[in-house]
Amino acid sequence: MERDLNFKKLIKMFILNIRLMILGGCICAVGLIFLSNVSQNYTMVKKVYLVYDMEKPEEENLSVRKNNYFDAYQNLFRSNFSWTSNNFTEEEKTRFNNVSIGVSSCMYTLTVNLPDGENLEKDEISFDKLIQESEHWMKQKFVDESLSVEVLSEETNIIQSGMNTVLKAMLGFIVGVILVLSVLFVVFVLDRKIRSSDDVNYYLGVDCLSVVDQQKGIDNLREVVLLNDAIIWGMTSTKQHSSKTTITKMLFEKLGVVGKKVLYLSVDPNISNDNIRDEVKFSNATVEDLKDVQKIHVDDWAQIERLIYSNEYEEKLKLLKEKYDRILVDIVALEENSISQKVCSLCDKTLLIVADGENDGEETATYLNKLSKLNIEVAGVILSEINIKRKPIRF
Amino acid sequence: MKSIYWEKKEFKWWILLLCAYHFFPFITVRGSIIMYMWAYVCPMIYIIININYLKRVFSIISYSEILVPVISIIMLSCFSIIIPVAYGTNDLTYLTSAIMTMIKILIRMLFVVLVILKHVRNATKETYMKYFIFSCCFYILGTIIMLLVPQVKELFYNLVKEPELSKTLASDSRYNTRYGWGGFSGFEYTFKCVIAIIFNNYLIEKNIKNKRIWWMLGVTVVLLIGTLFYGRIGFLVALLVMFGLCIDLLKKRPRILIIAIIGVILSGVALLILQTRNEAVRAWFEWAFDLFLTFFETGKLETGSSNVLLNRMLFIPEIKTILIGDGMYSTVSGYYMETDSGLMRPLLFGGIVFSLLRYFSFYVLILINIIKNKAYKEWRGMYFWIGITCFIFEIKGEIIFSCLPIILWLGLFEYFSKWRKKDGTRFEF
Repeated sequence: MERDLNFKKLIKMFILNIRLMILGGCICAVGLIFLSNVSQNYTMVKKVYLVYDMEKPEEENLSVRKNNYFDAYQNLFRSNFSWTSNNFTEEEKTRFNNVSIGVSSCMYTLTVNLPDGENLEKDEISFDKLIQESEHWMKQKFVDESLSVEVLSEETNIIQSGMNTVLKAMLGFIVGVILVLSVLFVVFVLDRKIRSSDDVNYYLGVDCLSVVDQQKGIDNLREVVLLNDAIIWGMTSTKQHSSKTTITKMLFEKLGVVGKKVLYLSVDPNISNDNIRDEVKFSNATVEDLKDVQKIHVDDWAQIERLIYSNEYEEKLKLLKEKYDRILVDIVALEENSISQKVCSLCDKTLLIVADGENDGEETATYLNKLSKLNIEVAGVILSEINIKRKPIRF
Repeated sequence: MKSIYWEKKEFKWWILLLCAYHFFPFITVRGSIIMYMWAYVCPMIYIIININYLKRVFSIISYSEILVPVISIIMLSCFSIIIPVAYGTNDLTYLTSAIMTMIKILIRMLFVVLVILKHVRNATKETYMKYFIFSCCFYILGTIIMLLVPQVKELFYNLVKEPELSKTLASDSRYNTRYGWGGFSGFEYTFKCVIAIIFNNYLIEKNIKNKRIWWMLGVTVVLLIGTLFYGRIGFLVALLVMFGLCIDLLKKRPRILIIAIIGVILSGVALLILQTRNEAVRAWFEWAFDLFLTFFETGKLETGSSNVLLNRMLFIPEIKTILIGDGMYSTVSGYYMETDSGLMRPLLFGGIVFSLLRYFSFYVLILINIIKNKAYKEWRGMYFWIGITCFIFEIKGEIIFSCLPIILWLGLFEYFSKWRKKDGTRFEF
């Protein structure tokens, strides 16, 4: 899909999940310190200074012969010559199987990484033995009469590998934060849920009429309903528990406050008549009693289908249209029963309610297309932020 | 002016020179700071100036398959810090050399891509590929000039900043052809020539019915010469890649194939004669065709280099190393365990999981493009050959992180084209 990354929303998501990042960083830092303490490495470095005694003064060939000697010496270690020797124990062979060799001018540097520092003195003795054995092998196997090699001196350095704990913790923390940021970014990018009016615009191709929560948004919706000539307004959603009934009730109340004669019609077997009457509150309503809150009472879906598809329902709606300024029809969710499409088709306009973070964008677009093909006039989409569920990753 | 390769106003000399520099960069010994600024700082400034463009690039990366290798690289970077610290080896060279080098190349490639998109009307992925092909040809031409005029080579030898080892190798007579304005040109350069051949093959297959396809085949010959100059493995892989093209030519343009084969045979004969009369040509000939000469003499398919590779570089490490690695990438003396094989080094560093993640970051892009483009046989074929080439090159040395920056941004062109069509206008900045 060709869409622009919403950087503001991304940064907002990162800020909202800062605790998660800190947690990730701390876990990584602790883990790194623990792992590095488990594996303490030591590096033993020996510098062997050599002198080359040439019988013939052929200085121009010296570098070639030195290189040949060095290559042969390196091959000796690569072939793990100690493995065929009886002078080394199995443990020594294992500990010294990763000797690497560097050469510069007249010095060899032999480096070995030891898995632990339990007995460094013993390791140093073993290392010396290895070098002596290698020199013995070289004297036997590498014959160059013009070149003889003697060990002039040796230096040994033992370096305890590893950095200080604070630095490890910092590195671990940074790495942990980066990993959590990457996960959050992937979750953000893969998220196809509708969470903002931009998402409504992007996925559904229509404008978001209002973003409704407990405090605000309903006034905008009221203006939309009042400024339009349509009388019968269908209120539906794609999924259940989209706060459809709550928004319908809030709109019903707001319309009543401005003196409009409004009928609340519920075509949803999940809501009882008494529930509606108890919950709908009036402040400055001109409605004297609750007879304007009507529910089509049915026992089952079959009965409701018979009623909705009969002429009786259409006739009744025509009569009600003459009597009321506005009729709000609280319709069951589209995914629940296809009867909702029939009810919507009998409304002048339909409002589609989408719950923030609950509806998949493409799925909702499919429903919208379906409604459009059935010539159901959808006036717009309302984004409901009334019952936003708390999740581990916040958007 | 329109040609077999270029659409009207598609080709611009200054873009070619810019691409040639960034695909084959060099830093001078004197004034190296200025060169570093030119190579890195200027591209970054250009990218930042075109911030709207950069936002769109981020959007494309986020909502396309390009995100997968990017996330994999981030994970590899994190592991390349965790592993050496956890193991206590503190060898961060994998991060500082392998990954950081790749990121620097990625930024420079992005700069090249932005320049092409901004200054070439209706630029497509083929535009980028063409600039890559011609940059390679330009580099090969540079090498030929240096061979014909040794003073030019001498000038660049003193001018270009490179390690001592490279300078030593460059002065070896066997490696006379392994030099260009980028310094000693070996493994990576022959690889780029092969990638250019693969790109060129794609363009040939798209224009296979065109009468002027000869020019494209001519470019292939130049690139093949490049592989012979810089690395024998490139030549072998190029032959394999060309085999695929030959099958298509046999079906659709058999006459051209026959003429091309006759041309190759005649060139081979000419070369054989020339190498007997010229010492320099002979030295190169013996190096370039070492494998074939050894085969004719001994019946064995091997060279000194292949023997070193099989006997020394490739080996089975301990189980513990295979599973979790040793946390070592480099030592004071060079490569850890003295191997520079691309299969071995990441395995020795981080174990099998780390190694597989590295391959995943590259091959997932190849696979997605092959699967996604079922209707486009040439495009699928191109990605297939890139995958095979990288696999073969990896046995010899690490190449994945050199290839990834080249092919990663190909996808950008595709998405920019879609965006252009959606907006209905040429993309404006």
